[in-house]
Amino acid sequence: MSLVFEVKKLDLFYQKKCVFCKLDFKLYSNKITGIIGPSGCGKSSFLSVLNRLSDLNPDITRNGHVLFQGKDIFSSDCELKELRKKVALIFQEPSPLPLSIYDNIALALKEHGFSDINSRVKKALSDVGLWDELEGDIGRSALKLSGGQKQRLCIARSIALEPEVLLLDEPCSSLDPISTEIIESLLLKLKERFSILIVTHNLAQAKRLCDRVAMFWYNSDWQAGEKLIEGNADEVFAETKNQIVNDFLAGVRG
Amino acid sequence: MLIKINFSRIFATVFAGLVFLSMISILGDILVSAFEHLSLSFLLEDVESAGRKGGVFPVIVSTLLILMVCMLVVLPLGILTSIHLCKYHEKKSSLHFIIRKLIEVLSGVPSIVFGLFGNSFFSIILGMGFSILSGGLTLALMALPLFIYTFERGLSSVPQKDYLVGKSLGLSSWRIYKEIILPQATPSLIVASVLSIGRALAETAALIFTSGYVDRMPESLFDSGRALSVHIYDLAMNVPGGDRNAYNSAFVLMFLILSINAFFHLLHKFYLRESKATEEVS
Repeated sequence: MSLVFEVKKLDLFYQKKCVFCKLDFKLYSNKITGIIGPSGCGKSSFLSVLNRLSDLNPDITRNGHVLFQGKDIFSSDCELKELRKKVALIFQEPSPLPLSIYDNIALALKEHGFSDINSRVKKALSDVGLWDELEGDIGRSALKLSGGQKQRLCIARSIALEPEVLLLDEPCSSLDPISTEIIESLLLKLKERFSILIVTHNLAQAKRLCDRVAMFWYNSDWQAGEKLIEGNADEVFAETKNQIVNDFLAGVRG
Repeated sequence: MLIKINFSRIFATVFAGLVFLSMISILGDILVSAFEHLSLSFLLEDVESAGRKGGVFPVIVSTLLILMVCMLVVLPLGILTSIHLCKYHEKKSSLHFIIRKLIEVLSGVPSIVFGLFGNSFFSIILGMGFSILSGGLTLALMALPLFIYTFERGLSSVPQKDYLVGKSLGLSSWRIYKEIILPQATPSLIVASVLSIGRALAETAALIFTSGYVDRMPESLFDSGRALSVHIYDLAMNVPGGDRNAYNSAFVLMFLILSINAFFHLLHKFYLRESKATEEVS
């Protein structure tokens, strides 16, 4: 179990308002780590910092350090293109590009200079179970797929690049229970190959999937988010000494 | 209530009718006057006797050359400026604000001012003289604000998410625009081009001072050439007995504009059908 991400004292500001403060966090390889907690405590913003997609939003500023495989991703010699290849982000809304299914995957493969694109596309689609489902018909528009298929295409698009980490931002929140189940079993399968960090509002889902869990909370004294607890899932979900955590997990607060 | 609705309807119908009538009368006037005399040879012959006799072949060639120079400048500059202005992920800087304001001001500047500027800048300072090149470049300056205004709207309507998704996959901005954003903005690119071409073809004042009056066949882009609109103006105002061919030339110009519009209209339709087809291929 090796350390993939180590976050040290990370502060994040949105238009000078603090989103979360002094965040420490660890992500381990080949585990599914879940982030739970109520809305507005910076869970999604946290994900977008990890592959520096937050750089695109000029309103966001940050302090602190994020080490990815021991190297600070905020240092000037960090290759953004390489970082985003290794740390894939999958959005809440299934967001295929308005291209064919094939091109959705092939475009990024070409950008990163992969060879034998066709076989890689096929492999990625097979990994998420879409290849058989579509019977190899990958020339049609990705926008015509169902919601669950779109989300699996987005996962296929990311894993085709052979990343180290998958960041998923509530990937099932717009999907029906059956599609959700398919994605969940897919994630359990994928954790053998990747480190997975998933934000979810769904506690039952966190219990089903996660090896480790971190809980974020809105600290009304700071007027900002904070990390309340982080640990192995069974420990977090068992009784703890923290009343807020207990209340949240019991559904009394949220 | 009922009466009110009827009133507004009547007003709308009357005014719509007035607009329609004025258009029909202009087109009709040109059509009727030109129809008697127009022949194919008018399109293919040289200008004779200052335009009273002969055809308009060199004038058509000059017009198309000026238009070509104009669009060769407008398309790349306009597309790149629009992309720069609509880069939605960047904080709107004061540079954006200034460019936007300048474009608004430029679109309101009378064409004669562009003509004088083109004359002093392109013709004199840059030494291009009265030439198709300086005429085309001046027209490009005039058409750019309209082009950018139209195309930027189209670009901005492409979902911002597509850019973010592209970036999250590590794609370069170049590839994102080329493969994802610009294909979705193609319809507005077509519209912007049609409007710019229309503006360029209709222009007279700016061309008199830049591409000049010469009605023979231009030998190169550095040669002077007479555009159709200038030809019409000259025949109508300066050449006694030129009325008939002024009408004929007006007809040719109208026909040219209509066919270019029709071409782009078909292109637009074809594009829409194509993009629909790729979505529906099963």
